[in-house]
Amino acid sequence: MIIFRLALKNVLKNANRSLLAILGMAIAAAIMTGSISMRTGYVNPAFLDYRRFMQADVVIYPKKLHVDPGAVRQRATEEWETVKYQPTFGSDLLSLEPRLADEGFLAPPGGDPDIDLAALRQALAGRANIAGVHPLFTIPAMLSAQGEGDAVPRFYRVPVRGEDVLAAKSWGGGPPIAGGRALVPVDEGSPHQSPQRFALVDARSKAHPQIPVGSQMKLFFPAVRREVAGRPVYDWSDLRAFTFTVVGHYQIPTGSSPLRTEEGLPVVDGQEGRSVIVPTYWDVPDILVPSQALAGVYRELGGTAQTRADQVGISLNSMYLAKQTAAELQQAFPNFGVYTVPNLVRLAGEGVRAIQTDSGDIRYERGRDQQMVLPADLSRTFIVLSFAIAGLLVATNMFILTAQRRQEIGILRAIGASSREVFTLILSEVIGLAVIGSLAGFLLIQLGVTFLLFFSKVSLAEAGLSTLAATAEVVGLSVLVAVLFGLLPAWEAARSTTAEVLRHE
Amino acid sequence: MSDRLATGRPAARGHGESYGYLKGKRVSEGYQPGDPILRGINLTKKFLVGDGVVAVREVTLDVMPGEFILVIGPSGCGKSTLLSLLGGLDRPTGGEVILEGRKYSRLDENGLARLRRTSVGFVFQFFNLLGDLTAAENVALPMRLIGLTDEEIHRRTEDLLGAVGMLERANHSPYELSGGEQQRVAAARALANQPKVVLADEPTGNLDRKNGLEVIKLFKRFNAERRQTFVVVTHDRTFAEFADRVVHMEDGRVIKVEGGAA
Amino acid sequence: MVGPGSNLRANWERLRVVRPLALRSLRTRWTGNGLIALAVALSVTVFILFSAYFAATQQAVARRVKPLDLPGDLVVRSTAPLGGGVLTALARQADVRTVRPAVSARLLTTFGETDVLGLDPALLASNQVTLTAGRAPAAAGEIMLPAETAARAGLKPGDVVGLSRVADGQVTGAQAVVVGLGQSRFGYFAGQALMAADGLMTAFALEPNVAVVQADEADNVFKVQRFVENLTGSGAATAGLRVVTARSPETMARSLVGGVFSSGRLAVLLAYIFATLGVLNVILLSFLQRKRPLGVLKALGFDNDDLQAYLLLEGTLMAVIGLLAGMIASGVLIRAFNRYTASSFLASAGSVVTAAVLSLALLYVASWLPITLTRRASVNALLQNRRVYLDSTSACAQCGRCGGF
Repeated sequence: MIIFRLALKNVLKNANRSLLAILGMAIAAAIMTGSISMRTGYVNPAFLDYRRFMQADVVIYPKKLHVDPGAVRQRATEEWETVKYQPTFGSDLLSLEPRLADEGFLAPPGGDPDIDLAALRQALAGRANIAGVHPLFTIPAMLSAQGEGDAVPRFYRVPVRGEDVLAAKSWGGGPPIAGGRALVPVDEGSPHQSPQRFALVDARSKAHPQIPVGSQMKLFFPAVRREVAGRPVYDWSDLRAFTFTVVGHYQIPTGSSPLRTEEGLPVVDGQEGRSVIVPTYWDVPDILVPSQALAGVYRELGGTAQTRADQVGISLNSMYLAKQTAAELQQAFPNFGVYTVPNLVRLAGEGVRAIQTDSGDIRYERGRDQQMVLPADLSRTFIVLSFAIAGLLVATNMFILTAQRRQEIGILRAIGASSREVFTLILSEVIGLAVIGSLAGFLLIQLGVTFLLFFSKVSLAEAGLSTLAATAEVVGLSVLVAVLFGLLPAWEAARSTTAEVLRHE
Repeated sequence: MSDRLATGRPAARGHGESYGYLKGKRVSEGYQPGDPILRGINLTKKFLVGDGVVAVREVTLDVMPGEFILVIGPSGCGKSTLLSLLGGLDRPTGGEVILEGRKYSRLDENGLARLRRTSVGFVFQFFNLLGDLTAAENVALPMRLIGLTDEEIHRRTEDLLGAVGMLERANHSPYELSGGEQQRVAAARALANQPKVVLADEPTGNLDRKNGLEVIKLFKRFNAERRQTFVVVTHDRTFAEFADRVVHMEDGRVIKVEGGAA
Repeated sequence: MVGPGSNLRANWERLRVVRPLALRSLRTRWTGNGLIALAVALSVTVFILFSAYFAATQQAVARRVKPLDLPGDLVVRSTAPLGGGVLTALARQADVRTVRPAVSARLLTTFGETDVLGLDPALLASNQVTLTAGRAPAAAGEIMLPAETAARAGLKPGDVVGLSRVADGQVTGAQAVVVGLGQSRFGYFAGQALMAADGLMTAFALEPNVAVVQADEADNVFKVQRFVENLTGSGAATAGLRVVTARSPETMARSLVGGVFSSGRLAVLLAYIFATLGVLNVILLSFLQRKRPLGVLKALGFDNDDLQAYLLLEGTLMAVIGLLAGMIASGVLIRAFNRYTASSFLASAGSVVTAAVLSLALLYVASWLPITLTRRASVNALLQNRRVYLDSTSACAQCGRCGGF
């Protein structure tokens, strides 16, 4: 026991050196925690807004989008073509990544252009970690709006998107509101009386003039010419007008960016000379209406019921396993593109630049695409790597700690401590430092993750359980590393004889 | 090479005879044969520990060529500090050290290193042989530094080890030698480059009486046979009989000088 | 005495003196030195493995991608009208045989929203269009639909379809007769309806935004591609100008792999930073354990550069051993991976050289602190195993918060 007390005292006495060791361990633990949290992906708080907008943790898009470079040799005959993501797919992926339609993307053969809901529901039944399935339907429309200085109204092609307001209650509402109010269940209206229709428009979209909250908005929908296997063919020569009341403006933040001019020069604050940083937003052209109301519109257009969804959101029981579940889903549905919402956040948020136009407005430009997934063997390599190198840091740090205390160890030996006790002393110090360091690094990252888990309406037990699991994983790993790499310095210290240590001075 | 050796002044490796400049001034000035070879003038050394400890207070000491000086005093009186100031191992807080007209204060770190390489030999209480090297290699190391040829190094090493009676143990590691043997090798190493002056800091402090006496006698022999200048620090008064002059120190000051003209 | 030549000679002399010392301490201090070699070997292995994996994946993916089927050798397209400048510049380019303006537009039709490609009738009549019914459009007001689209919309040759276009809030409309069904072989434009370019442009007041370019020789395609890319930079062309060739998917694949592996690069960098910290620790330790011998060397007349050469030589020898070990380890691993797993690795001389340079850089960065401490420490401090401070001014030593080394 005295040995452990001595170990603790030493840790405190050599605070500076101990701090160095702790820091090394903390960095290692933070990296480990980071890579584990990467699995959940909740590193960007912006994801919560997306989650509410998408009404999902994992989103399934039509068409196979992911190319796994790691699987190149496994499917030796597969040939990848360049295809363009067509607007008929109806999903919101194009507003996240317009280049998919513009330049096309690499697609493995196959890939369904839409999602058969019944088949999907059947395939999902009995799968672990699936809490709900939220199909998304959109109907293309023409918005008639009168901008400033327009003599007559102009027409803008917009997607009208159904928002599941009834389900949204348990999700903490729809997208964040910039003005007015959110959609509420009562906005669905009653199918029996001529319904008054309500909608949300994006506060930031440059796709059409801004429509003030409270005003009426006229939308022209194409009639359904025919339905083929539950999929409509729209006739744009036959437009039907519907009037909606705009009840609010929504906006989806993606982060922040230094403001630049069209020429790419930074915009500088005149007085302080600092470059201006502005929040960035996702420029979504979608008009949101309650999903039941949209289904009503579809029927009035001559359709029956859509059995094929433009995209499907999946809500999960445990978000801690989101990435893993998404990978499983991708494997189960190789013909679709499966994304976790955090992954989408990165897709939408990465490289969004704010540009000040000549008229003083702020326009948002989008970044690059991420069509390929990190091969599994590569990510495994990273974990092994951080493991080995963290261990190396611990070992070298401990060598220094023991080297600076040779005299003390010599005295210990001189007063009768056995080499085994010295060994235990050093090893318990190593483990103590490793636990402190890894806990510090772990807590730093995990607190943030837990915070997000808490706010994402995951049950507290679930959050606590996953945190516990992560704690065990990280701290266990670091202790293992510490013991493994602490053996060498401990052995060195235990080996030294009294005479050798005390001879000098 | 050989004519230089005959003068007893080995060529400094790659640097000729220059010891370096500081602030653009020539460091060696006005040394005449017959002047004291090593002069410590008003040397003071303060250590910044706690309120500050003054280890050496305004000590002045002239060492004549071929002299054997013993510095005696109780432990902690500053005699070792004085020695490291004289050898250029440490810089004084005040005062000046002059070796053959070269002022230490005008030498930069590398200049001091070169000076130690050629003109000062050290013997320490804890022998300080390099554990990685054999006895012969320890002796040869200073000679390698000044770029002597291998044959020359070999010849001189044998000569020196023979002189200290360690020839048959030349290829042993220091760990295989007794304390007295180690100190004799250390003495041979100190004499390797025929320095102007050998400074010995408690050379007998870690040896028994018999071995200690042998080391001092060895020093005396070198002093007598090779006209080698020695400054030896010790707390053992019994060695006074070997010295030309005995300097007594206490509390960082020279309190008494016995023997000699000074 | 002065000049690079004498410096070189002085350094050579220095090495001659410190070499036996360095070699000897490699033997006596094998744990610490082994750790240096291990850290270097680890980072070298990581670097070479990663580079080999990256190179192999990029190659394999690029090989996997199907080349594009295009109506010409190159297709130049833009999000905005091309403008006469680009077309004339292209026509004047020496290696270009023909330039045919074309137009691509998104239209709202009676059978849904679709992209329509307007091509030169000469191209439409060529063997690049596979018809399943009817004929290729030849005049204005004629349209050919992809068979699948027609089947979904219930259209057949002879039907009249309505087309409209929304731009700047204005809607323009027109009508066209379905004259044929089939597939164009223009991969990149697959799924688009086809019309005659002139007719499409007149109906919707469009300017060409696509140019189908034929080079005089297959070897010159790349030259023409470079020419167009330079046009983009010169400002003669509108922004958003893009060149598509049969090899474009390959380029895209390569850049996609690069994007995926960027996180891997970060990991490799991290590995090097950590390894540097580890090596720093080891060298620092070797300094702490050897203060006394270093002090002796200083007392014997080793100057700071000699000591630096000594410490660096010792480290470099270990780094070289680590480098060799890393190379061998990565070689063995690459062979094993290629043989026993589905992964493929492609080692290159370049990555080996880079790994070597990086590991030496690692060593020199890590050596800075211990070498500086050795240089700044007084002989006495070293000899008496006292704490050494990076800055030996009284203020630094007095504060002692860092505890010294």
